[in-house]
Amino acid sequence: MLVGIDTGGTFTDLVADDRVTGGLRVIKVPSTPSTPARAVLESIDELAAAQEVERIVIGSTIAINAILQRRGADVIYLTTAGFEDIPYIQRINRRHLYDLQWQKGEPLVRRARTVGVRERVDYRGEIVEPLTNDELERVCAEVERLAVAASQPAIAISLLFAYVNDVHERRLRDALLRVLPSVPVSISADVAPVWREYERGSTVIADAYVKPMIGGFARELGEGVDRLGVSAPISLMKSNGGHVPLEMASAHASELVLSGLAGGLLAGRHYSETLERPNLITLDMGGTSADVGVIQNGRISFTESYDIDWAIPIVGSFVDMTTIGAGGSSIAGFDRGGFLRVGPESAGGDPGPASYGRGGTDPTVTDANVVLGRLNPRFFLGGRMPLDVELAAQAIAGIARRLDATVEAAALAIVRMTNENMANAIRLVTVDRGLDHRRFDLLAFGGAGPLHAGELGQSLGIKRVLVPLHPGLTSAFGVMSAAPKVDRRWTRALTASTAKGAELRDAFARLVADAVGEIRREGYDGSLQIWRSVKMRYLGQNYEQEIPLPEGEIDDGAIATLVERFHTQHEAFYGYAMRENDCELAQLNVTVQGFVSVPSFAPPAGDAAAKPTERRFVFFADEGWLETPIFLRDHLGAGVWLEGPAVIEELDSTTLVHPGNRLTVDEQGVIELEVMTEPQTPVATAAEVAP
Amino acid sequence: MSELRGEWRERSQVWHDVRVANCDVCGRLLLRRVWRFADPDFGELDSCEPECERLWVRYVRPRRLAAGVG
Amino acid sequence: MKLDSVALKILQNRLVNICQEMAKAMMRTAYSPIFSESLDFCTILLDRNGDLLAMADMNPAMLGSGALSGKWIVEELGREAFEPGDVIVDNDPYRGMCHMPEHLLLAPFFHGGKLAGFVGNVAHVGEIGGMAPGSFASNATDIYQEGLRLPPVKLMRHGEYDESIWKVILANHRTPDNTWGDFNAMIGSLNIGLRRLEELFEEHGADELEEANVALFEHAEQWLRSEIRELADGAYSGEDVIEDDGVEDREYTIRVCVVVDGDEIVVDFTGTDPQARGPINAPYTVTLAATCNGLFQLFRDFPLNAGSFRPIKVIAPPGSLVNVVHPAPCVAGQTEIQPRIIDLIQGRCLAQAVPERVAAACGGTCSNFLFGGVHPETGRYYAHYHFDGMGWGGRRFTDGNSAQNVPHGNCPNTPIEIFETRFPFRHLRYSLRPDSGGAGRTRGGLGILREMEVLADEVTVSALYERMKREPWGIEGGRAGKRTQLLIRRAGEDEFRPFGAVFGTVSPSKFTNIRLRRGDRVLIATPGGGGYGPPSERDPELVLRDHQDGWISQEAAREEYGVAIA
Repeated sequence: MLVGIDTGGTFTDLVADDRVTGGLRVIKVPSTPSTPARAVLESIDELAAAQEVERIVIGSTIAINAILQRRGADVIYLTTAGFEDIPYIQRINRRHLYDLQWQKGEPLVRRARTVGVRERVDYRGEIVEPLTNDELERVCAEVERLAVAASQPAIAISLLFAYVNDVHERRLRDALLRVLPSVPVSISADVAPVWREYERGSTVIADAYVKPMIGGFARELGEGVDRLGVSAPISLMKSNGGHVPLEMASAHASELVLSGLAGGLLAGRHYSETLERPNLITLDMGGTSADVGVIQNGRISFTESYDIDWAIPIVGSFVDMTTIGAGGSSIAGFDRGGFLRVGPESAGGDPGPASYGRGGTDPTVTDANVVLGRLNPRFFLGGRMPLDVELAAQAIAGIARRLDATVEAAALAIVRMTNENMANAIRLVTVDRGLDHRRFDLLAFGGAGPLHAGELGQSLGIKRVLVPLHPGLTSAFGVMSAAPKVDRRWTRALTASTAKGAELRDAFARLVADAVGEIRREGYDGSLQIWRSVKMRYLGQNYEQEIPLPEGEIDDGAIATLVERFHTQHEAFYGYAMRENDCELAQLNVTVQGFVSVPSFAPPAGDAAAKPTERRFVFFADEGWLETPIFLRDHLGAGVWLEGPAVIEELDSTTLVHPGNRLTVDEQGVIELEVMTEPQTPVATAAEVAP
Repeated sequence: MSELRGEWRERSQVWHDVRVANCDVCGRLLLRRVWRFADPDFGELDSCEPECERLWVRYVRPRRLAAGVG
Repeated sequence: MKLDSVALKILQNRLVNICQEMAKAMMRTAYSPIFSESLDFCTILLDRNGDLLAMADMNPAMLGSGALSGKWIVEELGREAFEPGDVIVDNDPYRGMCHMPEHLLLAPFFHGGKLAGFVGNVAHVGEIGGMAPGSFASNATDIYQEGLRLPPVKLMRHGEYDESIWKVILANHRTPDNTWGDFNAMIGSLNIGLRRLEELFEEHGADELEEANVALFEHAEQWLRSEIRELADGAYSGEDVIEDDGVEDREYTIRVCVVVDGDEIVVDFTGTDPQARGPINAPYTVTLAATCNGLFQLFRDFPLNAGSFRPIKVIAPPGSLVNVVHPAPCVAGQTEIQPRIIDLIQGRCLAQAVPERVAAACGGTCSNFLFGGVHPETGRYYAHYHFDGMGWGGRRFTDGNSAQNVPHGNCPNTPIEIFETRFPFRHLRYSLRPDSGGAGRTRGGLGILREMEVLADEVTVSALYERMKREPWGIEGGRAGKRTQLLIRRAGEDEFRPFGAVFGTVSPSKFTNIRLRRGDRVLIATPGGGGYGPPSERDPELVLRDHQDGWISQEAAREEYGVAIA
């Protein structure tokens, strides 16, 4: 039995494949933010299947929360003398062009705990100022003094040009480990051997900052599962969509930042493969935010940096996700120019939307959906949270007055504006990668995703929307499906015209051996996929294109092929190539990934001729109130075929089928919506610009 | 708001004359046409848009008179 | 057909996204680090009249240019002059550009055979000829010394290079390979914009979009008017100086009066000194950009298009420091006049109306340091426009930020590791500058210290700084930040001395073409921001913390704040 656990802010979800029934087992327990391991252990306990578990993977927000809430270690930072302030200088730009009151973010280290080391390596890797033994001694003594005074010390080392020559970093680390064996040390040559000293240093500092906490979390979990009698291997999701064994997690601390977010994209990749939809956009919409990701040609997109709070850049490999403040609790209002605005302010879970009846009066997206009859007030969260239609209508009435529209028209405008916020996030994500979103299918999940996906698809020109089983647990499902994965990258500016194939071959051989060694040490002994690529640019440019390494022997011919591929790709991306110019091979990337076999799941037992459980009036843009059949998801077996309007309800989500759209259910129980996308100009409804 | 008295006038400039001229009120560039209006104390003024005549009447003229310019 | 507010919002997002996409393309393909690392450019969409539809959130220094330059090109050439596949280039500061290094490339967009709009980008091209490498001649006395001036002319015709003009340009720039690469990056970015506009027009049709544009302008205008209405009516005046113009040792005064009248603002620079002989003059669009920036800093998240500028009228007398006319030079107006105007509008004028929303003076200089030469390893000519961050002024509730780019820019620095890989210098220090922030209840941010050694036999450097004689002022009882310093230690000597003293330049902060040799060390110290409120009211805990982190010395704690630290 494979187990995936996703720890969210409110709930911790567990998904396991039940080999007996061929179905999914799902468990939801309240999260325990102050002691994150507890909810995880409770969910495993509730599974009550200690002996059958083969593997547990956990997606956790522990690293990112430690950073966001500033609850990490007392980092002692070592860097080349004269450059100690770089974490404060940052890149000298600011978050908003026009906001005089903006405050520059604080790094995760205090200047008073920073030690300058007299040493210097130049850009070619030559040592221009050696690190002397005296200096080494002085630095160790200074660090010892700081470590003694700190309550939870952790050491981060990032020296200038260490990505070209790391000998000084390693000497420092070795010496410090002798003096302070119990204090963890992170060095940039291991954590992020790439150029740009501020971003590299910030990554190493973040690594040290979260390391002790990750270690504690891992210990607590390890002891807990022992008590529960689980002997299966346990690992944590990494930001790159792979995972790392619990006992090694603290050595990869900076790689765990997106641990809690990667699950959605992994689920996307799984469905992309099993449904044979190579190009998918994933939309995970919940109560306060929506996460958008891209699967292209069956593969997840990755980025090489992730910025937390505009102050803490972390470099590495990250599943490419964009998060925006659009969720069920997002609040509607007006901007200064008189346009309707939804979010990013959120009513959260408490008081939550007005319809929760907990004292909230702000109009929210959930309230709009209640007013439109799209959410069943008696079946929200399976009936655990009854919604008050009257309170929802009162909250929306304020918006309606200002728009001089009916309450329904106002609610509709709120829903459309929310969809536009998400659509815009999707456009930005695809635009960044030079992709056309209309060539993608949309995989919608999270509690609110399936409710909005039909309209979202329509406004983006996306023709097909997919809704997996248990949309509210899709992230946990993705975590369950994670395969082990290790990335290696190395900055080294080789000029194409003078680079030797042998040089490239040796460098790649070293990186691959290193990555494979790590994945084997993690205990994975299955077969491996290996990707190798080179990031290339024209000599003089500072940004690169990633070019896959040609198959076969790496020789001078391979370099010629790389150069040709680079010209072609540059031309395809930017409309021009400069074939007469020399190129640089700026960074070598290696990714090694194992396999995991995720079973297929049986669809719900219902037959192909599903019967509605009831009918109620639901409001649609063009048709107004329509009497709409309501179905239970559990009744929709494989082969079901429906025409909109229809509403599909299940415990953790609601799917809306618009008039004219068509719903089918496939062999795995996945809902497929065929969306009408004739170019439709939004018609002026009642929701005009407010006077 | 006072009524505007000015009118649009075409400017003609041969292509090999690459000099530029500026608005008498706000200082912006004058291109193919100007908004020309007359002032009893300051004579004929070439401005860049009708808005500048309003600005002249409402704001610039009183100040220039007060400063004893003109 | 009329679009409702949701549909308009969708359109607004799409327009901004197109600009962002154009910007991304430029950043990723550019040659000069000033594009790719420093992002010293912006991208714009204009309607068929040349009115600004949208702008990427890049460099606010080009705000005025974005608003007016394209429109003026359309008016000067006439709409009939544009044909599909054309690209216009323009860097003429007398015609709305900011200064000559910044080039506007503008391409008409046609839909159904009719001119329907424009895409454009404005970018700083690193080397455009003139008397100094890097084209930042701080002692130029006319525009002809500042490089190659291009009034609006066609760079591309029907999608083909106009070879005549390209040859003229490439023959007059010192690093033509970079110009070639950067211009092509700009054109590539325009092509992406044109493609996206085509899709947009296919979807909506020209008529619908034209109507929507009117509504979007209206929305932006209403937004700004609503902000202005919150400021108390009144006339708020102030003045400040530029220390010297690089040619003569004398000050120039900028005088401004901000008149808030209901939901409109008139900003009047009448009374400002006549234009200088040296290059510290500002074109009209630079003055406009700085003025709007000074106002916009008080607002947030507002939409930016032609409508945003409607409630603001700027009066700048031609032939003055703030509205340069032929033949005066003006390369430094863009970099040094802008921060002075922004400070004036906020810390001097609006401080009288809304003291809780403004800041003390920022370091107030772009800290331009230009250098070039032949790289000893590649044997190739290189030139680089370098700048540094400085401290910003303290605010009512928070200290000023340290080490930030000027308020009229938002350019990231060039990382040391990229700097040294490209240019023959080795840094010995890149740090914050202790004690440089003006003391106050909230203190000014700190400037930076950059010390570097020349690794080539010869490097030619030029400098253009301000705030070397006059300190960035504090407000509400706050003290001034530390002044700029620019020092040199010649190879073989052991003492740093001011450049001005060593090389006998007229101005200590503005000079051109000084030859440094191997082993010389340059030390740049940028100013700190002014403080806000009396230093005696600062929380002693904060003084202690600042001392522990090394931001202030024991002496400063005692003398400025009256806090004794053992």
